Amino acid sequence: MLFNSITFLLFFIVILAVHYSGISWKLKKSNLLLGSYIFYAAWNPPFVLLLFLSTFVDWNIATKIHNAKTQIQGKHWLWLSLIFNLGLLSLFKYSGFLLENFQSLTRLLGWEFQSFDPGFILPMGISFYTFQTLSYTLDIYYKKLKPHNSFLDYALFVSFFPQLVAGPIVRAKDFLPQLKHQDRIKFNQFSLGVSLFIIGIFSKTVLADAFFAPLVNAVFVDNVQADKLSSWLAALFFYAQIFCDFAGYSLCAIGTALSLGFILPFNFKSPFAAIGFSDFWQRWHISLSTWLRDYLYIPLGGNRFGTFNTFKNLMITMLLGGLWHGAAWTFVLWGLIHGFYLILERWLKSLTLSKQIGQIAVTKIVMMFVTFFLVMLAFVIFRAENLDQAHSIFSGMFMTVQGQELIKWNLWTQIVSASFLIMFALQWIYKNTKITDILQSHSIVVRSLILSFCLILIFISAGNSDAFIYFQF
Amino acid sequence: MHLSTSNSNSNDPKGWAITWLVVIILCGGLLGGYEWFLKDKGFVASIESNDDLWSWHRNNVNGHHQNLVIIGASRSQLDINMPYLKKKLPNYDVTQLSVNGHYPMATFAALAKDEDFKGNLLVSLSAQALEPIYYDMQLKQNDYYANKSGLYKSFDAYISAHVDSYLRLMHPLLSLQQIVEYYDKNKDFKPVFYTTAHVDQSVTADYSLTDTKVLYNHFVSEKKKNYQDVKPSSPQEWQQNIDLLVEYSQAIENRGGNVILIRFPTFKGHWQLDEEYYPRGKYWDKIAANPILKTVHFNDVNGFELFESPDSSHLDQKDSEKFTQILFDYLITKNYLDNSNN
Repeated sequence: MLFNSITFLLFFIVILAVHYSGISWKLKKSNLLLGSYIFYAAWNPPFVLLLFLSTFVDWNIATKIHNAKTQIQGKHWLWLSLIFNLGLLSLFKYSGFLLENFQSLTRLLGWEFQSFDPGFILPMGISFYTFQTLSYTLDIYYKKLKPHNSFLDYALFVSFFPQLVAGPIVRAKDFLPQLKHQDRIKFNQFSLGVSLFIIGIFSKTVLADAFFAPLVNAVFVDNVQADKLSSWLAALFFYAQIFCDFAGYSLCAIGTALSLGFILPFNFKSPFAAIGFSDFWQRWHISLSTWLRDYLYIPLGGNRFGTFNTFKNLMITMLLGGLWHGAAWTFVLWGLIHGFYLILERWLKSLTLSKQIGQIAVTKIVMMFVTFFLVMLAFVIFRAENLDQAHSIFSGMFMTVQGQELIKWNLWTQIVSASFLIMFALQWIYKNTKITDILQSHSIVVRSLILSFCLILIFISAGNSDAFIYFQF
Repeated sequence: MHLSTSNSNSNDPKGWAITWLVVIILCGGLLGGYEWFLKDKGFVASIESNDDLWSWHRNNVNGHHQNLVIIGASRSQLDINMPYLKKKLPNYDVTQLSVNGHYPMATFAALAKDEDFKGNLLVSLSAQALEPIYYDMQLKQNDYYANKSGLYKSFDAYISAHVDSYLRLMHPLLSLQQIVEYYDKNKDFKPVFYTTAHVDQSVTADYSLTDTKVLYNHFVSEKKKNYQDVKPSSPQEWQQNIDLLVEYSQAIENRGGNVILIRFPTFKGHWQLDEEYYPRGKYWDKIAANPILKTVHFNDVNGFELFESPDSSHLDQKDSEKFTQILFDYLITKNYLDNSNN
């Protein structure tokens, strides 16, 4: 079910009505669990069974890990959880990609292997809920968490509909305590939740779909070379589009959960204003980057075993982070580039000169633009259908090529460009301020104007509304 | 980890209540004002048909004999008055599956293959629609229905279309981008559209809102170019095309269904071109001569000669009710359609 659909609004009204009724807390949680399964079934009903299977298996394995008499026994159960979860993910998400590349490899070696399409449909949000259930078993293995005593609560933690299909990736230690007892939902909390939902829908349907997507799509087409202006605008606007799309979804998820009385972690914090790449990853898809840090980078050794091992661990983490986004070489390359950025940044930071000039205000501003620019270039590869298309966009940006004017510099493009600049400036101004604080700190008039502006534009923009980009991951 | 409301505990219910009140007044006032402005300009609410809405209607074509399904392209969408038809044939479940600008052979084939379909099928057909090059025009809709549609997406498209059908400001051709781009070029607000698309997938046209002379010339010149680009089939190939019609019709009728092929009217220059490239005697009459096929040609129906098409190909909304009445009276008189229950 899409947040930006009338069906979701009707569904959510029913969920809210039951949640705010006088029934018991257990029944309210059951309502949320049932609602979550209905929400998920809206795409493809049989995949609810897969979601339930994933929930059931990890719930039992986590208990086995906790009850294991020896560490070896616990490790065996953990391996089973890893094989099950990552096996499912590989089967549905990567089998076609692996077979295709195996065929290329065998041909290179002179063998004959005919690849085939395994024909699996990618279950929506499998990358998100798999990481969520894995974090539970890993936390129990590392003794950071004890098994929860209620399967209902655990099932709701895995399948809670606001964040089920595109995050934020929630940790059990943050969410399960919220299910223990019912807190009275205050009107300002409900209002804040609804406000975040409205701003999220505005970000998705107006900025991402109606403003940026049509211009980006006009340039990212096969076999057409765009001119310099079109290539630059497409690269800039795609960064803006994916931010508005994904941050918009996260805001909708956080807002929906908040209006039901649950607190989810922020997933974005003004990434355009990042100074350096480690700062960028503390502002972009925060729930994934912290997951990769806690469950991959640190277990690999983190920065504890010398410079070479630190660089190696960074590269492995970013490569797998890239691959998490999808089964394509463009995502692998995107991860590789970010790994390279992080290594370069670490190396530069270790130099005496950079320590001296790093604190100067002008340097910070320059670094912000450099970070923005390099992240934007990496996103060209992320968006491209293939490497040829990425090459074509880069050629348009940096080389003197004959290209078509795929984006015309007309009034509409000027409005979209102005929106982009305003968004950039706002992220710089509010780079360390949460949107909830912005909403609460401003006067009633400003708050009302912000929300009214968003609602009016949602109604009159009416762009071609696509599914959220991150659903495919 | 920072949570989304970690420092947002200030309780300000009164402030929020006022906020929502101001938002409702502002949005209600401005959106209401914009809706009134569009109404004052003469705009009518319209929907955007898409594959999910088509799938919703296709899904409603179920196994019983009282289905009446209309397939074709824009002529069957504009010429048939759906509200009138539903009143005239209250015992039929009437479904409009025509797709603007797309000949219907792929849908005809899909319905012929669908063992569940046992109803009445009205196929709007011109001779050119039988050219193999045009067979797949509606394949996209049928593929989507078979492989990608689902209850949620179809239902959402259906209720979204209902909402759009009441609000002018949700008009698919009045998005902010379209308004700005039009203004940029013409320094004016968009002119009123002469066609309106409805939730049931029919379309109505008010030709008084447009320059019919320009439209007529456009339609006729485009048709001429189209006929020049795609040459008619040879007589041998044409027979194969008729065989396909027979195969599909028989498949449906063997299950107890009923298929009627209708040549909807074209006018003046358009009809002259039709006759030049696909003379009735050589093409349509060969179809009509087949004893298995039930056919209706507009030139054979008394009363159709009274109509005029402003654009040479479609009827104005003021004529569609009368046209529908004459057409269905004719079908009933010819016993092509059973009206005993009505």
